[in-house]
Amino acid sequence: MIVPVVSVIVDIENGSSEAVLHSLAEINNISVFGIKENQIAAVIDGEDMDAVQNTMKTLYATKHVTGAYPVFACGYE
Amino acid sequence: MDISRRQLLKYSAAIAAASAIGLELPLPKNAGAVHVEKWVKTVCRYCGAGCGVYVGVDKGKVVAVQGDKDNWNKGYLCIKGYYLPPILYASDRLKYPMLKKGGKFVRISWKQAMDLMVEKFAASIKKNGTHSVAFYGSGQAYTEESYVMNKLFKGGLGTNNIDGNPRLCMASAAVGYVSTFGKDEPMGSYDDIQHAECFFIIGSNMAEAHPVIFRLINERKQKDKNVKIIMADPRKTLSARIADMHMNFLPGTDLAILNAMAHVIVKENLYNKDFVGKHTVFKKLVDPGPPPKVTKVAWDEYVKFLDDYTPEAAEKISKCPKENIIKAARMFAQSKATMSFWCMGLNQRTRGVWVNNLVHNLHLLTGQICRPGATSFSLTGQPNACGGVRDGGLLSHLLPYGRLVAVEAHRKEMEKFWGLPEGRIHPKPGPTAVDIFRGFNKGEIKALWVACTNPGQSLPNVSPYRKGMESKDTFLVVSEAYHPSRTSELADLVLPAALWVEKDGTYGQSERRYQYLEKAVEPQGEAKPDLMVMTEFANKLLTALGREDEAKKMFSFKNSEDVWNEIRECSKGTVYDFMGMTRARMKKEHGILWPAPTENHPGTLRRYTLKYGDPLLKKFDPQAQDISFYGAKADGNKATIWLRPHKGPAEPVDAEYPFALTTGRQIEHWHTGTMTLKVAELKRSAPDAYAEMNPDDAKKLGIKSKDKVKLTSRRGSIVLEAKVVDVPREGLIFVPMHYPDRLINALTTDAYDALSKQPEFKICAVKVEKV
Repeated sequence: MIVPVVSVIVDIENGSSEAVLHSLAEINNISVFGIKENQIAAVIDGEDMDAVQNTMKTLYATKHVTGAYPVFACGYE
Repeated sequence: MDISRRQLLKYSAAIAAASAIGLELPLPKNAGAVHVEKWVKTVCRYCGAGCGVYVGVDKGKVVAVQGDKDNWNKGYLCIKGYYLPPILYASDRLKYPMLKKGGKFVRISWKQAMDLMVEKFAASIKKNGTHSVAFYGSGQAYTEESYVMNKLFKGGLGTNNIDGNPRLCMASAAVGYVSTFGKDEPMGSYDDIQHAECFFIIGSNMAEAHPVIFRLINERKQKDKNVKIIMADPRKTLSARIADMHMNFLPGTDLAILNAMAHVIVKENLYNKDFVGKHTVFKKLVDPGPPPKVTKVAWDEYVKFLDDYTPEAAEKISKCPKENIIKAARMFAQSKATMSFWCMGLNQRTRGVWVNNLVHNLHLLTGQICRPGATSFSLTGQPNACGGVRDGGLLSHLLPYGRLVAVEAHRKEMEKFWGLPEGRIHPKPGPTAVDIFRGFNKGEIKALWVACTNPGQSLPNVSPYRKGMESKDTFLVVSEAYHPSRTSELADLVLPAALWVEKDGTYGQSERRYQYLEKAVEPQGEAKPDLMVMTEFANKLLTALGREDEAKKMFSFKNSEDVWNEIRECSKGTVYDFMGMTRARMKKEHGILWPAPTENHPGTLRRYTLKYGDPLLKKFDPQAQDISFYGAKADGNKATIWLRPHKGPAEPVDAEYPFALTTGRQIEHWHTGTMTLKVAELKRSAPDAYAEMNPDDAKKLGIKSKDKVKLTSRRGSIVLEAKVVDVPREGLIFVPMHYPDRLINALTTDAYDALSKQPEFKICAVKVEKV
């Protein structure tokens, strides 16, 4: 079972969207699809599972990010 | 728009994320065709938060997962949740019954396994009496499974030798609620998060242990700048990231802090006189017993009791600055609505019940209770500790739905309900978790069935109990989805269990929310749903004991819905009443909060308040105008404010063992790791246990991160890699509890709370050496 595509909601601090979007732009395998208030809808598109997991860890450690929550994951053999 | 499969997957994922925050993305051609034949509504397998989940099934396998956005979690999952599918397909899934022969496990048939179990249990009962057998269950088993085993042991066999692992995680919270409010379980719900202005979080690392509930709090704080968060914990965990104030204190001194907060509230006249006068009584313990002797006292005596807990005195005991105690007390009392959360940091203590009482005290003193946003809320570790074990009465002192084995009227009620002769249910509470294994060690219990849990790793002071489990003089059956686990390796017989969506049943979770888990795929190999195995065993065991007619009458269930319907009837007329939760309704809806006495009742967000919709309040207290703690009938439907003095841990630090050891969770893993450590990505992310230490302590001992350190308690030792980080306070060592090859419970103490019998996993004394 592989799960190569994972969408996440990234929760951020008030007024930090610009800074966070800038930080996310520097992460290779994450795409931002929308932002509403303090939440960013993004998709992690990892070449392998470790890449997805590493991106999650990077998200947790990103300044102004208060949480990252997967909402959908899918995969194929 | 023609798109590749990968692009399609990515876009499907994006739509899910965007829709979760209320954005709409245009649908691409073929969107939704993610090679999923059907989506099945279910619930996450892990913690007690109870996140709604859909699993995508393709060709008989679970291939995808998404959060249920119509459920309370609004589609969000934590990192463990989105890696759920691989737990079903781990290479060590147990597919056949296995019998230990000559020290090795060999495959046998189900018939052989069942015959052997029945023979061993029946022989022991005939030779040594009914109290020579026992069952150790789980807060992860489905409600129907726990109910059937409870009915068999307490009703069919007339022994209360049945307990479960919630004794290790929730018992203090349960006894805390019962001793304060008369009945178990929180009165509020997650909906209160949307109304609270102050969150008091103590003894809980929510960001890692209950991430999706933590997200709701975070979201609330982001939306309203008036919202304040107080975090009280000896570690600066990830949860402290969003806190306005972190109250850092010496492990085991929180009773002093909570009493000092009450002291400030009383001295500064911040308490709610009207509420206290109308809805509370005061009590203190005068003799610990057993049985404990309690007396009612007056307000003045309570105020005098609090004189010992000035902020200065509490600072001396706890090292928490008095300014923080005063500030926290004011924030708690003065906010428009205060909501408390706690978990194992309070429960897994020898004073677990007392410290639970002290949190409730603050709510009762200030009237921060029974209205939106004002409530005291115990978080739950396992997905069905509340529903299957606390509510269902699987613990050795309980009968279903708030009844007690020690109360004659309750026994008679259940004997009548189960169609048993009067006097069948034994009046004495049975042994609790630790004592079941002590009894097994001593040979007082000859045959033990452990289902859906891993005591060979999770019991405190585990080493001597492991020896008992391995003994050739007793018979240990373990029902497990994986083999070997640290328990199944010790068993005589291992039964393959269907896991999660390989069977159907009901979970009852933190906020009294009951949810139905539909079967989505077939079990692996010859694995069976535990309910099927338990029902067959009950029938065959009673038949072997010469009670075939009784067996037929008691255990004629054809499926889980039959059991569920009996459970609903059993709850009827109690404070739990969920007659309205039919199986058909639960399949359709996204969880219902009890009480829900009729099929058109929507469920109850807040109990004990007429104004906010408790449907049972007038039934149990017809005179009540609004608030009534009707579970506490003997106290005139009033809740109790307890005088509970500060007492430290059972094993305080000393010159020989100068550090306090505490155990807990990491975000990637859950409990003993039988599931999450099978997910390669989670394992790679968090591969091993470590000893987390404060930089000042490390410096004094000449220890750097990644150095090997030996932790030694009075019971055992372990060598781990050091992680030097400014998270634990000075004098505290934290070790995650998940790793089967690192039995941290070889060090923990099995001393337990006198009232709840819950062991003190959270604090024991250790020494630390660089190796």
